[in-house]
Amino acid sequence: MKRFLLLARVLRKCGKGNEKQDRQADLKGDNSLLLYVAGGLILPVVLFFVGRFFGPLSLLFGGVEPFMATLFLIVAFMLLLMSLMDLISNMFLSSDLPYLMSLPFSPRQIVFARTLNTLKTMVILSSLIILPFGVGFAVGSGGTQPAGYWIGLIAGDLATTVAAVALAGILAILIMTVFRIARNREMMAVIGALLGFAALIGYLFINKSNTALNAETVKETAGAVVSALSGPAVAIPVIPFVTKMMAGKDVVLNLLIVLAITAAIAALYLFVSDRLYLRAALNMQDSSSKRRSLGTDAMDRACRQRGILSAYTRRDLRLVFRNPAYMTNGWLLALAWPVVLLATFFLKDGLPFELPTGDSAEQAEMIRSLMTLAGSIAVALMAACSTVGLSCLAGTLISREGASFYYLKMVPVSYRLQVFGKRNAVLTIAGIGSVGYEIPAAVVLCATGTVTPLCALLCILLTAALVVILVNLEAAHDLKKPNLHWESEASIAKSNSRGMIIWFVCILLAMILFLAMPFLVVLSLPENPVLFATLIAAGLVLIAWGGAALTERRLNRKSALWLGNIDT
Amino acid sequence: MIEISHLTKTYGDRKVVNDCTWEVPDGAIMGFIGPNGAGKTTHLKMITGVLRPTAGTVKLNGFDITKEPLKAKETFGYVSDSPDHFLRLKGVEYLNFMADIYGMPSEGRREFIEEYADRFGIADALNSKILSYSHGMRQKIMVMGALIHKPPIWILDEPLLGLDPQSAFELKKMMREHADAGNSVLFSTHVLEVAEKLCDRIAVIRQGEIRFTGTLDELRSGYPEGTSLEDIFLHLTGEKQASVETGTEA
Ligand SMILES: Nc1ncnc2c1ncn2[C@@H]1O[C@H](COP(=O)(O)OP(=O)(O)OP(=O)(O)O)[C@@H](O)[C@H]1O
Ligand SMILES: [Mg+2]
Repeated sequence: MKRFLLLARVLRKCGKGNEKQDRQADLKGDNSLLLYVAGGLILPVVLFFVGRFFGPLSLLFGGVEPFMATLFLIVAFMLLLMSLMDLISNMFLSSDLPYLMSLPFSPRQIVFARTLNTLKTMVILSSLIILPFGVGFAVGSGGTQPAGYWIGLIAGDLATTVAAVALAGILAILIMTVFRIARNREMMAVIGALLGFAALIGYLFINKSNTALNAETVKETAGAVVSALSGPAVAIPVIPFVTKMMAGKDVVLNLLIVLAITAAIAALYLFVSDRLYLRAALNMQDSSSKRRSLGTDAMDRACRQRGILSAYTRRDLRLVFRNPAYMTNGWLLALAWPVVLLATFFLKDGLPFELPTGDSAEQAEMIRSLMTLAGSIAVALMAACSTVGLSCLAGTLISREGASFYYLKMVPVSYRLQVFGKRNAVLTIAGIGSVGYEIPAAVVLCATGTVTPLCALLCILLTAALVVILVNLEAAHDLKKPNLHWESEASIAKSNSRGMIIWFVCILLAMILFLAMPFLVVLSLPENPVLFATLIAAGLVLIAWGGAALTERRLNRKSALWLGNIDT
Repeated sequence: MIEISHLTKTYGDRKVVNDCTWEVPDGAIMGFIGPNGAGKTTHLKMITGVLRPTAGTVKLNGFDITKEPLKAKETFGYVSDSPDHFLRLKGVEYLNFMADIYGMPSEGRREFIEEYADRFGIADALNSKILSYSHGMRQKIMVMGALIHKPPIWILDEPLLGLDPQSAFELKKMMREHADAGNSVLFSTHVLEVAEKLCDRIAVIRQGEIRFTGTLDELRSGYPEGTSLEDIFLHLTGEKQASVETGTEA
C-alpha cells in the first residue's frame, strides 16, 4: 500500500511520464493556463444561463428527469471519449512504460495510479459543466428543488465521471489487447474496417430516414441526434437513478444504487487490468518490420522528382500515418470521429424528452425546415471541430519536428513554403475527415429528399471554411510557441488541450443550437422564421469564409517571421 | 569557402562562442577539434543557419547566411551530430525528400543513391524504415541525404562516430576526393589520429574561442621536434589550466 501511494505520487509528479525538462520552459511562460482560466470561468457562466433557459421549460415539457438525463448523457459521452484517449496514451504509449514494467508493481497498481491522473482532470471538467447547469436550472425553474435534487446533482456528477473513466479504461485495455494484430503493416486494414463500419451505419441511417417526411419522422430524426448521446447510457447505468433522485423519488435508495453501480464498474476495471493490462502493454513493446529489397520499378517510382510543396506534404503524411502516437491522438480521431458519433445512433431509439412538434401542420413543417437547417449548421460545426480539434495534428505542426527541427532551418527553402507544405498535410487529413464525408452524404440525402440542396451546400461550405480557420489558427499558435524539447512522440501528441477545448465548445454549441430550435418556434416566432434562419445561415457561411481568408493571409505573411524566430 | 568573422553566441550571460574569426579555404579538409562543450556544434549550427548568431557574420561561397539565406543554404550539405531523424521514413523516401527539397531532377538520383548505398553497404536496407537501422546505418543515410544535391561545401558534425572501419574509410576517401576537386570540407572530431592523417588544416577551439587555425606543420612548428599531436592538443586546449580558470570564475 505504501509503495502504491509512492508510485501514484511519483506518476502524478511526472505528469504523463513523457515530458523532458525543457531548458527554456520557465522562460517561455505559458498562455495555455490563461486559456484554462478563461474557459473555466466562461464555460460555467454560459452553462448557468443555458440551465436557466431550460429550467422553466422543464415545467412545460416533462419535468426534471428528461432534461437532466440529457445533460448527464452529453457529459458522460464526452468524458468517455476524452478519457479513452488520455488513458490509451498514458497507459500504453508513455515512454516510461518499459521502466515501470521492470519495477515490482502489480498491473492493477500501475493502472490505478495512472488512472488517478485522468480522473482528476475529468472530475474538474464535469463539475464545471454539470454544477453550473444544475444551479441555473434550479434557479430558472423557481428554486423549489427538493434536497434530493442537490444530492443527486453532486453524486451524479461524481458517479458519472468515475463510471465514464473506468469504462474508458476497460475499453482502452480491450482495444490495445486486440490492437496487437493491427499494429504494424495491418494498420490500413483497421482503417478500412472502420470506414466500412461507417458506411454501414450511414446506410442504415439513410434507410431509416428515407421514410415519408412528417411531424413524426422529424421527431424521430431529432430523437436520433439526441440518442446519439445516449449510447453511453447503456454502458453507464447510473444516470436513470441519478435523475430519479433529482426528481425527489426514493433519494436514499437511489443513492445506494448509484454508489453500488459505480463501485461495480470500478471493480470490473481493476479486474480487467489485472487480467489483461500486462499483456497489452507488452504488445506495445515489440514492433517488427520486414526488410524487403527495392525493385527496379519501385526505385524508379521513388526517384521521381516532386515539387517542394508536395514533397513536404507527402513527408508529413507519411511520418504521421506511420506513427502509433499520432494515430491514437491524431489521424484516427480526425477520420473516425463519425463512427464514434454515429455508432451510438442505433443503440437507442427516441428522445429522452418530448420535443415540441407544433400545434398545426404548418407549424410542424416550419419546425422541420428549421431543424434541418440548424442540423446542417450543427453538422458543419461538429465535423470541423471534431476533425481538427480531436486530433493533435494541426496543433503540433512544428512541435512534431522535435530534434529534427533544424532541417527546416538548414534547407534552402523559404520558411513560408515549408509551413504551407506541412499545413497542407494537416488540411488534407482534416478535409477527408469532414468534407470528404459530407459530400457523398449530401448527394445521397439530397437524392432521397431528406435535406434540401441549399442546406447541404451551406453545410459543406461552412465546414470547409471552419476547417481552414481552425487548422490555420492551431498551426499559427504552434508556430509561435512550439514545444521542440520532447522525448517521445506520445507526449507531444497528447498535448492537445486547446484542440479539446475547441471541440468541446463547438459540440456544446451545436447541441444547444439544434435542441433550442423547436422551442424557439413554439415560444416566439419571427415573421418568416425559415427565411430568417436561412439568411442567418448564409451570413454565417460568408463570415466563415471571410475568416478563412484572413487566417490564410495571416499565415502567408507571418509564417516566415514566426519560423525564423524559433531559435533552439 | 567559408568565411567566419566575429561570430558570437550567448546563452543568457554565458558566451558559448566568443568573437571567432577564421575561414575554411577551398580545396581543403578542415578538422575542427576541441574538448566537449567547447562550442563546436554551436559553431556549425550558426554556420548552417540553424542557430541565429548573437553577433558576427558567416559567408558561404560569398553568400551571407543571414542576408541571403536561401542562396547560402544551397551551397552546403550538413550532417548534424545526431542521426536520429525522420525515423518513420524509409531510407529511399528520406533521400528523395532531400532531393526534392534541393530541386534535384529525377535523372541522377538513382545513380547517386545506388552508388553511395553500395559504397556504404546499406543497399538492401534502403526500403526499410530508418527506425530499424543501427546507429551507424542511420549516420550513413544522413550523410547520403546531405550529399545528394552535390553541394560544394560539406559540413559534418562528428561524421565518423559509430561508423565501422570500412565505412569510415569510405567516408574519409570521399572527403579527400571532394576536397581535391577544389571544394571545402569542414568536420568536427575528437579523434586526433583522424585529424592528423586526413586534414589539410585544423582549427582548435576551447571554451568558445579559436586557439589555432592553420596546417599541421604550422601547428608543430611552435613545439619542440617530436612532440606528439596529443601533447600539443592537450597544451592548446589546456584542460588543467581551463578547469583552474572556471574554478576562479565561479
Ligand atoms: N540551448 C542551449 N542553451 C544553453 N546552453 C547551451 C545550449 N546549447 C549548447 N549550450 C552550451 O554551449 C556549450 C557548447 O556546446 P556545443 O554543443 O557547441 O559543444 P561541442 O563542442 O559540440 O561539444 P561535444 O564535443 O561534446 O559535441 C556547452 O557548454 C553547452 O552546454
Ligand atoms: Mg558537438
